[in-house]
Amino acid sequence: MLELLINPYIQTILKVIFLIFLVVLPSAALLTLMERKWSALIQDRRGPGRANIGKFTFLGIFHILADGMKLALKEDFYPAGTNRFLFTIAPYFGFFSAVTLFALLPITSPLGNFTFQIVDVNIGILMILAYMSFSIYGAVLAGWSTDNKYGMLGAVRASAQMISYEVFLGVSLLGLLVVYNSLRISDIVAGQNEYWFNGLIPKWGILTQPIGFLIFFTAILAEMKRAPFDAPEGESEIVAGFFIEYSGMRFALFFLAEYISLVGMAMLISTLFLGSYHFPWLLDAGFKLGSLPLVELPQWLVVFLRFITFGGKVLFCCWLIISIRWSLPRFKFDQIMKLGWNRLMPLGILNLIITILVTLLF
Amino acid sequence: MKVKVVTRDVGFLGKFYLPAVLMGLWLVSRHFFANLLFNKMTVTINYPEVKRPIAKRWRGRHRLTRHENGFIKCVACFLCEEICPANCIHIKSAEMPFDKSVEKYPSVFDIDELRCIFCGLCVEACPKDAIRMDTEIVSLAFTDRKKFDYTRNLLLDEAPDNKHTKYTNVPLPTSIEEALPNSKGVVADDLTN
Amino acid sequence: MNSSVGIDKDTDLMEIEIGPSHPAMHGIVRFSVSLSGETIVKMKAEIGYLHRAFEKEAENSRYIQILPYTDRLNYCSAIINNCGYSMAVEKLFGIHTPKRAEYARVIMMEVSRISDHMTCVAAAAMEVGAFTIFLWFIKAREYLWELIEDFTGARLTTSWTRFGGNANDFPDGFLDKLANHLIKVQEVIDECDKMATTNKIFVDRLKGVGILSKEKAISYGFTGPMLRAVGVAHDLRVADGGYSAYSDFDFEIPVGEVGDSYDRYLVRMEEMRQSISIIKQASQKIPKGSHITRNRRTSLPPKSEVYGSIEGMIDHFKLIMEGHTPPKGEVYVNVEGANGELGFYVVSDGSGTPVKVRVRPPCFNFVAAMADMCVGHPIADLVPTFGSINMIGGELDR
Repeated sequence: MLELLINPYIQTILKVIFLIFLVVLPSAALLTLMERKWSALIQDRRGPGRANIGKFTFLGIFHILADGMKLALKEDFYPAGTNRFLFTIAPYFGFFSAVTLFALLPITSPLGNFTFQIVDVNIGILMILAYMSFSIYGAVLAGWSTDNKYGMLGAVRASAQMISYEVFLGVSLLGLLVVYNSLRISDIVAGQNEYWFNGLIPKWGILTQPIGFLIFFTAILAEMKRAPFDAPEGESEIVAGFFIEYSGMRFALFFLAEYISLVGMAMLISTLFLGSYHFPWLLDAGFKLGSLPLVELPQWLVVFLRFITFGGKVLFCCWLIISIRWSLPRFKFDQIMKLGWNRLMPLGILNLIITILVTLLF
Repeated sequence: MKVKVVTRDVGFLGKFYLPAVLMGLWLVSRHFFANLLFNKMTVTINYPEVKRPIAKRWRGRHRLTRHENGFIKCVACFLCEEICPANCIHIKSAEMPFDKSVEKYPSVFDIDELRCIFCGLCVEACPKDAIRMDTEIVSLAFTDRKKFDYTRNLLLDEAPDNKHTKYTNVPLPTSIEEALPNSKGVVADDLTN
Repeated sequence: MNSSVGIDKDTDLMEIEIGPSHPAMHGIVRFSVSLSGETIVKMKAEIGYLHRAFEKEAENSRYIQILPYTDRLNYCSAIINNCGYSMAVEKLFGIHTPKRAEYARVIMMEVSRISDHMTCVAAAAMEVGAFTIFLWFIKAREYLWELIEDFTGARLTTSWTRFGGNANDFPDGFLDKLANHLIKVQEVIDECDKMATTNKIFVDRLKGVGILSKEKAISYGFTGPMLRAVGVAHDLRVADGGYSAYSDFDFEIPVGEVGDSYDRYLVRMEEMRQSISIIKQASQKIPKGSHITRNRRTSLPPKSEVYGSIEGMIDHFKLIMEGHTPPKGEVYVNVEGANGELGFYVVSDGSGTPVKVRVRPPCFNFVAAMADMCVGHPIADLVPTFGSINMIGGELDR
């Protein structure tokens, strides 16, 4: 039995199951509620809190169940003129691309030989970019297959926006790759636990690549089609954009994919730019600030602390993304393109040149 | 006339996206943390459980008032029916069979609260202070349309339920209790003396 | 059609119906839009979805019974409609309202104006995606509606004015509450100002969108903030000496320069501030007196007279059974509604029922100009333009 557990394939399968059912789905479901609650706090409301079992509402946590049940019990509906095959498969693209992201990101540092990461490929960053591109198909097929004009407009906007911003996503990461000198996620993570000035300031991505971080963050928002880049969904113009005709569980898939990718992107930002699971000055052996003596800690505690740190960072990123949504108006579609090609692209290239020069000179 | 030309200039910081994002985040997180930690700025209430205080002048559901002895004040003068812009008041007058001090009383006094627009003109028109809108009942919600037809007895008393009696010919009452329920059993002859 | 719009000859235009059931078409209106790509090349407004036959109803109602109908014209600022209609009938009668009533009217009209502008700016902000601003403004509007509720007994359908005055006098403690709530409202306005006015995304959405030249705006018959946004300083509150008690107060008329959606937004924001200043001035010097005239031909006698004296009772009955009977004639009274010139044209034949009550709705002209403002712009610009004209269905379709 124990031998089975040591088998790397079995381990990977267990990790996948663990990740999907204990991390991805619950956190996405929670985030749907969190977004509503947090936006309520921002807007001086109370937010959802009516769904109850008996007397208990638990801050509205049953709304997750209620929403899920409502969507599940809805009629399985195809609008007239739909391409049924494409209409059915479209939601899965976004879902797939959102979920696969988790395979590449470590949650905490390895405990002995056991890594808390499903796969650590040497082209990790490229794989992430490749997986992200999948969600474009979802948006385009969903919009096109419904035979709805609003849907079509949304699909066109979505495809143009997402393909463009993939470019900036790549450009912003180039600087990071130069700094950490690797495409492998674990190398980038390890590189962020190195220190400047004799162990004082950690070499986090946000400090080594501040401009890259800004571009990356913007591109991530656009890639997720989240406000202020939600022109493809453009609530007030094209109603709901590409998923206008979706209802029931297929809509739920879009909805869930959005929140799963929100968690995924928050994890990605934390991993690449916020030092991943590293807590400042917490080395593998224990705390060490500058030239002060090392405070030794057992490895399991270090791993646990790092897990908490990572969770905190992800939560912060989720909060940041959600708060940005509720604080900014929506871009117009042509402004999104202008922002991308006229501002982010030159800035990204400039950032890359500066990074290369700095790396070569120092 | 003083004229002020509005300033369209957005300033130096207005030329960039980042200050806008930071300003927005600052304002938003101020509300977020104030509400999260101290529940300070929340203005909404859990409505059915908590009710906000309503103004003294609030025009709520109507009620018919009584004299001190329990008799209805309304003398069926039809002024409220006349002034009602929504034509939602229906009165049928009848000779008061028991009380000789008044000539008429409303044998039927229906208000269709679905048609009522709560303008308050009936209250203003009443020369006897017989109809008021001070019940503080602000939400009338039933699952049946017929329940919105408030009849005389329901308007007199705070009845929770409602039976459909609109436009029906109510036969003349045989006793004072039937004519005016809860009239405290004052004998009519006593009043005339 | 705008000649500068480039149309791809090889592809068909996309005909798309925006509304009547569409998130941005609040107030119910339909735009039949032809799109080339995302650009609007043809646009037609279809109105009438909220037509309730106000004018026909008015032909069959007595003067006082029309008053509640006016609540439903511009439902964001019902009191201004009430006052406008009452002023028309008062002019027909040739009576004056007591100064105290005028002050109360001015205060409540300005409160309504703020709430109307707030609704407009909030809805426009929501349509460009700033949902938080919307809800903050709605929160502030609630403070104003509480004031209206305290004074009139209803939040939305006020039915508050009477011919020759108002239904009731200031309630107890009203002025303290007014001052208190105005501070809160001012805070919210400042906060939203910080959030939106210099926000580049917001400015980009509104600047250069929905421009109409000064000449065109005048020829379309624009009034109110829309006209002021193109740079014409015209405000009925001060034009020709003003009406009601507005000449007693000192305030500025904000005007724009270009006439785009951003100017309209700025003008409305500034007007809210000016309204607050008017309310503050007015609440400082409320004159003593009655809230309604004692003219027996136009106003009901006080209840004590109705209950206690036969003359009062007779007056009361006559006024209600016969209705108000103004002398023969016709009047046109226009007030500065929150949206612009709100006119009431009332024709009387001497009976208790008017021959005609015609309303000049301010936003009718704006909707007519929508096509001119939107053609040649992308579909995304339709939304802030439509938001900034503040179309109110009840007023437009009547």
